[in-house]
Amino acid sequence: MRKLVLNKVITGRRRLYLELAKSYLDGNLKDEIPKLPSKLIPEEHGEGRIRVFYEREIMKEKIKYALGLNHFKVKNMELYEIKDEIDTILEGSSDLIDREKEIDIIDKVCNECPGGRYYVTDLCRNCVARSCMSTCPKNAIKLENGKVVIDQNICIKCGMCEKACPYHAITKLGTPCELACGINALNRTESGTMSVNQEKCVSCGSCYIECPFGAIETPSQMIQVLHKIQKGEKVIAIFAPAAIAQFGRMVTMNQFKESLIQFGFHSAVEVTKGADKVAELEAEHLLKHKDDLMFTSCCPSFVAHIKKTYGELSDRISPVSSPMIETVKMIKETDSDALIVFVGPCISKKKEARENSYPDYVLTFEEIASLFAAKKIEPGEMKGMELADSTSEAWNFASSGGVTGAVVYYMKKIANEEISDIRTEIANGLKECELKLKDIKNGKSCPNVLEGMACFGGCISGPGVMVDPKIANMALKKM
Amino acid sequence: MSKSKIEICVGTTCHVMGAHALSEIYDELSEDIKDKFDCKYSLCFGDCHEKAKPPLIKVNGELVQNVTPDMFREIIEKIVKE
Repeated sequence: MRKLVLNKVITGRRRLYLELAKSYLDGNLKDEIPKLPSKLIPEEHGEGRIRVFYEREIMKEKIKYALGLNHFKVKNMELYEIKDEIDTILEGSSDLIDREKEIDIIDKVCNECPGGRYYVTDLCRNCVARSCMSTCPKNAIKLENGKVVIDQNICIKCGMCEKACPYHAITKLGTPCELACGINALNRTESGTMSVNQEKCVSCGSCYIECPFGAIETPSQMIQVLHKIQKGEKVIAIFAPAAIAQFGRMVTMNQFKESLIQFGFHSAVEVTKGADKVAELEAEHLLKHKDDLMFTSCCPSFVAHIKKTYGELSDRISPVSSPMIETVKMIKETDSDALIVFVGPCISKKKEARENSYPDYVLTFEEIASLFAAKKIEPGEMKGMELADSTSEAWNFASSGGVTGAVVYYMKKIANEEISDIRTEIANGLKECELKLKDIKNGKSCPNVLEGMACFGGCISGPGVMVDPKIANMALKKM
Repeated sequence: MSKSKIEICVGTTCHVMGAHALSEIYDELSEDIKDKFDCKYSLCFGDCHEKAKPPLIKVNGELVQNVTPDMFREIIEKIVKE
């Protein structure tokens, strides 16, 4: 499970979301947009001065993403030009809104990390042995002013010197996004910046979490949702089980649900309702086809990876849709005219929503929390409203292993006996999904169920979470 | 010795701006250090919207603003050393 480190990329983004929502509510979004970079990154004197200019430029691009715009279309636009389009952006009719990508790299912001190169660090003791020089097969290590230096033009990046140094003074500098990606979906462009290979990318958001420059962004729909709600339209929120503990351990799910209503949603529905249905239907399917192989369908990145890279196995994807889609279907039976917003930890769900044509919007917990803050909604002060009847197994869909647990639970319940002859496997994180799929393709393993989740630890580790996954996990155990 | 009072605001704005990271730090302190404090979580102080920059905490009643995890560690360290 990943550890959420509250860094300045995260706080910067949250502050932006908050200020944007506040300006909208104050009725001066149009005038505020061009001023936001200097408001969010205040003037500094002395050493930090130049950095301020740089960070304001980054902020400009981030504002475009926060408004949900297509980076390719707006990258050369200034904020005051975008200002004129704001009405159509809010309505969702603007051509500038992104309808293609869930994740992209802002090339202007990408730091061109010198990934894969070896460097001699300060830990070098200038020793007598100089094993690094002796071991180098290309004589790429030279003495300069009494210190060893690697000539990057000659170095073939074999790593022999790193292993030879007893002080660990030689180190390989990685590219964080590239290291984070479980399926090598990032390429380096000729200019040195990174780019997303959209043929392979499954929008899991690992690179978005890792980039230390905040150069990887996802277009947000939060301002459009806020606009619909403020206009008084009928908007229903459905929330993922990973919502657990997202407002701290003091805030219960009952309070969170009430907060959504106070915020202005017409109603709020637990996606665990869909999860129970999915688990039950999948259990029925597995009982009928005992020797089959089935991939779980709840994680859209896992599903996308199968479709994009293991096309020949795609008929093995569960015949049941994801809990999000099942929950929307349930609502549509009675409320066909309402707009539906999925609130979750996930970026990939935006893609799933777009491909299915519903739900209408997807928000992350970071976005909904910023909206709550802007509208002064305090979940901790709510009395709390009743939750729908869901099993604890359905809540556990939010963590790795939970879906398998729920399916086996329903199999036992339906068959009314212990289920012993089912082979389940769990792929935790996209890297492991890739490995397990490869083994299945090569006939090295043949489970009946392969549960795949692209985020390490499950949805509670998703890219849009508010709190450390460990806290959410503890809360899940109590559900 | 009387205990030092710490109140961490866990209202929405402070939560968004990182109060959760402060409570995580407090949770991870050893029991003998926790023993020196009377720490509680508080609902919105009401100061975050105009007056002060969140996340906010109160140390012995005094408001401290824009508290980063590092600052919070320093505050605790300083009190423990006193």
